[in-house]
Amino acid sequence: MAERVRVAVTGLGVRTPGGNDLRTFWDTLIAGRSTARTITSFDASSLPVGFACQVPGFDTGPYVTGKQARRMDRATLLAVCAADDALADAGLIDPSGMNGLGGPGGLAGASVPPERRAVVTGTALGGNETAEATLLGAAYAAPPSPPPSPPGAGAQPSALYVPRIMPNASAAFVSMRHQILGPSLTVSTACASGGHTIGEGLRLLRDGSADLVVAGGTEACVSPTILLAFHRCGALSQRVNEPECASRPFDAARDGFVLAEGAAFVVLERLEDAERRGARVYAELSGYGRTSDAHHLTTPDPKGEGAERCVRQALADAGLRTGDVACVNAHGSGTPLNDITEAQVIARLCGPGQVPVTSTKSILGHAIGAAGAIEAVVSVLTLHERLIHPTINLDVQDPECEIDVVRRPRPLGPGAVVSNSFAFGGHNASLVFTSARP
Amino acid sequence: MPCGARVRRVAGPMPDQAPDQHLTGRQPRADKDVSMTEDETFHQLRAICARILSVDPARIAPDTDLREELDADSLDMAELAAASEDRFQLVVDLDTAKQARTLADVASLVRAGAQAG
Repeated sequence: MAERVRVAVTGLGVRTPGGNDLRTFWDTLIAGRSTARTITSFDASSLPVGFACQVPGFDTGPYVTGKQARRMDRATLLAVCAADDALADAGLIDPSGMNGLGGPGGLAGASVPPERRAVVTGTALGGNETAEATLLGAAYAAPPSPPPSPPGAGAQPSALYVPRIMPNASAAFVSMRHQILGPSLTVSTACASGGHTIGEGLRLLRDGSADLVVAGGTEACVSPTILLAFHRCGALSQRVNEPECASRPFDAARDGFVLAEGAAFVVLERLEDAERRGARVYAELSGYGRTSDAHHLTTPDPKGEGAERCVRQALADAGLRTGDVACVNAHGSGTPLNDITEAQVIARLCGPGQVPVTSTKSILGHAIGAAGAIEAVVSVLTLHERLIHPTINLDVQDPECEIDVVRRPRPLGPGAVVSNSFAFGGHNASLVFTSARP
Repeated sequence: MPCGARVRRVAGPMPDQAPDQHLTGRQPRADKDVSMTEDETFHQLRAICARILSVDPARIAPDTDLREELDADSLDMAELAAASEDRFQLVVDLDTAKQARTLADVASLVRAGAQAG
């Protein structure tokens, strides 16, 4: 039997509330600076929850023309910029090429034929901003992606309405920008979308469907309807007077998650190909698990059986044991139910308090379909930097969460980093990253 | 293009459109009676077109070939037709709109739509 394909992560790109470049992003995480703020991009004063984690200073000018931008929802713009950055970070396109109005235009630096390139994107809510502005009026639309119809157009959708709201828009644009003629797919598994995209990208490489994969998630869902809807189903923190303290995973006083937006992409290729071309290898994507709770639409299986099977599956896929785990980047949403269930799963698998656990959502909030991809990038950087970022707002740890939550930056021990994503609908994804050459 | 001629705007829904008009995606037209010169029509169309194509309005003359000179594609032309419907509150023949090459062509469609109303 042939040796299984090993897959390297060679490029990273982000658009997040914590930064639009890797250095700012990582510094925000290590400093443990909350990115939750009172919303100012639209009038949220009448909403019961008027705070969120939003991407600051999002400038699409160096990436897309005005005409291209008009065809994209904010979610697509976030994705296109993050994917471009990931490809540039991998050395596959010239970063200076992004200054041209036409964008990079193609993978000039890649020796991979267009037919052997693939893209997998994830989103839960697609072009929500466009949908909401069209159906409710444009009052809430924020630059740089105003709706194509003028304010007040309301009931008449633009001809661009469908291309802007369709969940596959990011995959389509990334494929067109980079002459990706192989598979271009979109995964929508709510809060696990970002994790699943990267796992499915791994499988495309393993099964020989592609030689180069761009994979990631995006979400631009900080809008009146989505805020109110998550609030009404009891998912959001209601600490309106203390936004920065609202996301508090594993804390006894947690009361829900903080809504966020963002995008993150990775470039995946076979390890041997990456080494042959002299690429920087951030980490190896060693394992992938995906399971379903088949339990409830919005609450996790209280026994965590689906989540536990998912982590076990990912570790088995990587050929590792629970004792090989050096850090868990938890789903850690800060909802009462998720955190107990996930902590119990981690404690069952690795032993109570035996493995460092951190929650990126404590700092960046919950970017829904992008969260898993953002946290995959964090997991890769954790291995690359050999440092675990802190979980903030952990004042009094919930005694039912018998895990070692990292409160201050902590050096990473030897072993693997596991990234979990658990979703509405009972979709679970776990990714296992290891150092490429330990 | 002759200037000074008046384009009559559609006043109210067409008789054969009610009551299942919503199934076609078209809204009943507001009962307005506003007149506009062809010059004004062109200037408004040019502003819409410039926004859609993200170009300076000064680059658009009545006979500018929108596809050849300004890289307009079928989606742009569809958007231009839809935006014209919204702005002038009339119905534009979309099949014909796809064949339009200049803003003068689009203006003709708008006039035809107004007359049909």
